[in-house]
Amino acid sequence: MEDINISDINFDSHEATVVDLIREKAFVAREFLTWLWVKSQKEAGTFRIDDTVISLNFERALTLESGDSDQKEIISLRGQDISEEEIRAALLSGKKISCATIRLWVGELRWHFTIKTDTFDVTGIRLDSKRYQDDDTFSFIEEELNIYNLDAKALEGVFLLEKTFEILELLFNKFLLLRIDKQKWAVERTIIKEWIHKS
Amino acid sequence: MGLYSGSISAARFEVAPIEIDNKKQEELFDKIVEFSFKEDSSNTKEITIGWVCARDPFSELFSITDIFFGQYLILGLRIDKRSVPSALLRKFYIQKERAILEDSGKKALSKKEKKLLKERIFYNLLKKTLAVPKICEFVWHLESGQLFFLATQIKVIEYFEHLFKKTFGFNPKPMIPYYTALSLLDSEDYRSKLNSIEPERFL
Repeated sequence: MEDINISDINFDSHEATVVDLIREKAFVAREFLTWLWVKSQKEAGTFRIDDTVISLNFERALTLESGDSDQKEIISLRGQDISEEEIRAALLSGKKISCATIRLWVGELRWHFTIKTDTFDVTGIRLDSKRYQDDDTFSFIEEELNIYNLDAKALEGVFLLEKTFEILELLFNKFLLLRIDKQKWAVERTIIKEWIHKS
Repeated sequence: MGLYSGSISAARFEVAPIEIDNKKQEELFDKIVEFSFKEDSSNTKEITIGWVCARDPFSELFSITDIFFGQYLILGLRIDKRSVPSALLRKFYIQKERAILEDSGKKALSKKEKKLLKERIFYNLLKKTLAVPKICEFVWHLESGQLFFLATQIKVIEYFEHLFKKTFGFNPKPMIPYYTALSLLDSEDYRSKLNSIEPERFL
């Protein structure tokens, strides 16, 4: 156990490199979410990556940002009344998606969460139904994770955590391979621009 | 929002993979016990942190089988926090300052006397307050080195990193988007291309 005087912890020690990298490279993850949004609108939200079919849609809760921490402009859009026009207008003003709530379907599993692009922290991971608490599924998860003697609630949590980040990595990797390839990215950029400018 | 609540929030970290066997498990367990949470009613610190069993966070005792599950180590970080409301501190400070001035016949306290008085009152009040506990679990897959800390507030993450380093002797690496990208791109050429891209304008 440790007793702490708050002054004993150097809160600035969060290595300057990490803080700098978050600031300098924030655009990569924002472009990823923006790309994902446009693709989800254009391709009915279905991605086939290797053997995994991922269906996703964005909930009506988005934050869009432009600039860095010194000259940041933020707009939050919430609620069922958000129109595509509002999102297009924000994108046209140079903003990109920095936080979004995403609903995913992979096989039988359906769940949702909110992701922030500055850190890739994920909040509010929650199953859409409780179907994964029956005995068969419990055994399936135990075998899948090779983890035993853990109660059902925690087991489901570990499974969802791993699944969430596994799927995010699949999607992020797909985006990165396009983003670093000049020719492929030119095609994607055109698709995004056309969608943004569609009236 | 943790493993035992309705929804989960998490920050992801990476550490070096560990090959786990009984000896390694015991070695890690001993380190965890050294920094486990112990109730101490005489404690008057603002913040006290320590490891607890995730499914029974208010018990001081736990065994290896309570925290190791195959390749996983699942622990709770307990953070007990005492705080003094500023209005309360102000009330007692004004009362005490007035009494001192009346007794001493002084017109005002010096800057240093004010600071010392405020600190003394703060710690006297702190002793009388009860600590509010907060539990945040972490899930560590030892073989892959993937680790999830089930909280996303920066200060809480910093408490976690602080105690993790003290306990295990190394820092968990926060998997921010850039580090995630580097780990996904499997060639030096790809990583070099990633470093050379500039922000896109979709206008």
